Amino acid sequence: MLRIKNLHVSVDNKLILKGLTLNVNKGEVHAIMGPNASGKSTLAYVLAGHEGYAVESGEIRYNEHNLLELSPEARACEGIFLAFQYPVEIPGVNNVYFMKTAVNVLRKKRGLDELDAVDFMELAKEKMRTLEMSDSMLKRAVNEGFSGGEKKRNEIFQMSLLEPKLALLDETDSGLDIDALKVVARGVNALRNKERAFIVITHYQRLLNYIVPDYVHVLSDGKIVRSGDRNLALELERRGYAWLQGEQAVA
Amino acid sequence: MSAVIQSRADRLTRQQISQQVLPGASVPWITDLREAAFSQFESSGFPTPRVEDWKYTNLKALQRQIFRFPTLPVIKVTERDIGPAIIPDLEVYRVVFVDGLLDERLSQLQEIQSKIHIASLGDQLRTNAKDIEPHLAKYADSGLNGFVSLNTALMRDGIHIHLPKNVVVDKPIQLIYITTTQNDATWFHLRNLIIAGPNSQASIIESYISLSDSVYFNNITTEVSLAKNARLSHYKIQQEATQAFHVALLKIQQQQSSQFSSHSLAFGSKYSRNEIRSELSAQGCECVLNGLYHAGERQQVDTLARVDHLAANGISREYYKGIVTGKAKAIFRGISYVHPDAQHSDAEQKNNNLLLSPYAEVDTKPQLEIYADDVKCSHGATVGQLDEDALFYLRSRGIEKETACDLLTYSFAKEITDRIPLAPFARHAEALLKNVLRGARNLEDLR
Ligand SMILES: Nc1ncnc2c1ncn2[C@@H]1O[C@H](COP(=O)(O)OP(=O)(O)OP(=O)(O)O)[C@@H](O)[C@H]1O
Ligand SMILES: [Mg+2]
Repeated sequence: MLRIKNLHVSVDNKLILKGLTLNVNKGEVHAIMGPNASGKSTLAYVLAGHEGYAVESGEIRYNEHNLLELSPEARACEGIFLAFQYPVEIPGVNNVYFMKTAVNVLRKKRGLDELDAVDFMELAKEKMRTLEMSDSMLKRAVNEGFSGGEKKRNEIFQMSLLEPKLALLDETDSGLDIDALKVVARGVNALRNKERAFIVITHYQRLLNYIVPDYVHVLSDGKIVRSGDRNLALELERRGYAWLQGEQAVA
Repeated sequence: MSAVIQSRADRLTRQQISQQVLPGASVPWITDLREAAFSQFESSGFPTPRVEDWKYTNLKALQRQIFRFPTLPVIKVTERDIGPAIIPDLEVYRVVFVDGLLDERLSQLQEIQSKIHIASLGDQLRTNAKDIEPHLAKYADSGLNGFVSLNTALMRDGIHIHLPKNVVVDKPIQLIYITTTQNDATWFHLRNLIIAGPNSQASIIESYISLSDSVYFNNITTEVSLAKNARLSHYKIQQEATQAFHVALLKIQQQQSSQFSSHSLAFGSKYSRNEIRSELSAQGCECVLNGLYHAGERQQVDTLARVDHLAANGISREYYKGIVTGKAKAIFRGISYVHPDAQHSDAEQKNNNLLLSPYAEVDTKPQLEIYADDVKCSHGATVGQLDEDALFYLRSRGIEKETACDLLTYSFAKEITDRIPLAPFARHAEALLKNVLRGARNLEDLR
């Protein structure tokens, strides 16, 4: 469903992604690991359509679309969802109002009836229960004053409401306590099916014990330098990244 | 009836005025007051940018305009016409002014006349001027600027309210000012005088609407006096026509432990000025000024909010937010002046502006002047744009760019509407703002 070919991306005239190639099929879970500043979030932002990231060359196909031609909102409507590494606080915009608007935009796009306030609340409360979140978070402004873990949970809550086809989770595990990690992983796993693909960006192999990936990639200095199965993550846990960077230099 | 007289705003002559039939013409102190005020206008003219309080204001269009003195309204205003001023779910005592004159037919004066003294200022000047002699022009100095001078010289009608001691008015009093003039540019010099006796309480709403799409000028001076422990909440919605000029001074004098609050929304007019000045003349007064302005296209919206702490233990707040788009210009000047005797004053001032277009302009100048040593004062001003990260976050959830912009703009303004204690008024304000944002966006799209 997603074909990224030789992607070069710059921010503020600094080249960050330097020839990234990645294929993701329906139903697959890909984990992306890699050192800080290697470009993982950049990849996630580019896929979601952030205008601050300039695509210098390369292409991204998503199903039948040239993804780069779609606005962020059009990508969302096509089923792309990014769980942000740093969810944005939006004072004054109520969480319920925000998510009801978003859910109804997508439902309309998918030819479904819009949900009224009552139906939406019912749906929202059910999702919150599975994520063990308190209802009071719904009434608050989007992410405002949420703790780090609450923000991450709120991202997964949004994902569960929007039911994307391709979900990008950018370090959703950082900032979660051990119990919360399990709850969030359960939320993600509940959404796994034959149609839906995930790209899970993480620094910790522990998350991958709960969300078991089909593939693990190492992103280093703007490129994927090694791909493997889940055993690669275990190896990285033991050895770090230095040996791969060395290998790349040799190669 | 006098002939139709017109004058270029800045070249008005004594002779042109002498042909006007103005209320109180047989009362010496009133004619003296008018005479003196007109002399002040002759020597000062309209304010220029050299005057600090008008530094960023451009009054050229107003000064060049030729204005006609009002004649009797031609159009018969109906209930339907005042619809845009009606606030849903809010019961009020309604007073309607059509083209500067009180309209008995549309007003509900009798209903409250049993509780308080309320009358047309014109009638008051004609028939019972001595009751207002101790108050009229005693709070708003007619030499303050050319607009107040002109207003004092030419005032014709407005509202006079006197709240007796201990009276609590059960419903807000809504003053609806509707302008109907069609072709000729007309000016109206409206004068309001509100006297709140000790321990009295009331809410007053001023609504400005129009059936006109031509040029007109509402020049309004409102004087308010609050006796000991009086509480007055003042609400204002300015939705004048797009060609209109609107210049309003609200001058408040507060006595001991009185509380005044202002909640104002400025949306209309080609040029509008909202000037509020409060004097905390005795101990323990509270004054909260809360306002929101929006300007698009080539609108100019100008706000001046000044609180003078003259006695100890006063609290003042100035919270203003503005949304500026198109080629519009917004001007804000806030002044918290703490005089030497005003120890333990607590003054806070905030002005935040959202610039939605590269061609829009904001000039903001918050200012503290402090001459007492034991005080708590703060001020701050910002001019910013929509938060790009927030915009992307909303869009990444499928919300269209325009909707996302509106949502963020609306949430920016919500801090002001959230502070409005009268819930139906707050809801109405929010609904109006949504319309204004939508309207401004459609205009932007057309460009
Ligand atoms: N808006 C920006 N302006 C300037 N530089 C940026 C911007 N966004 C990203 N960068 C730079 O791009 C590089 C890659 O950043 P990115 O956030 O993609 O790294 P990452 O792999 O996600 O790192 P981490 O593991 O720390 O989250 C970094 O050097 C970062 O400073
Ligand atoms: Mg990152």
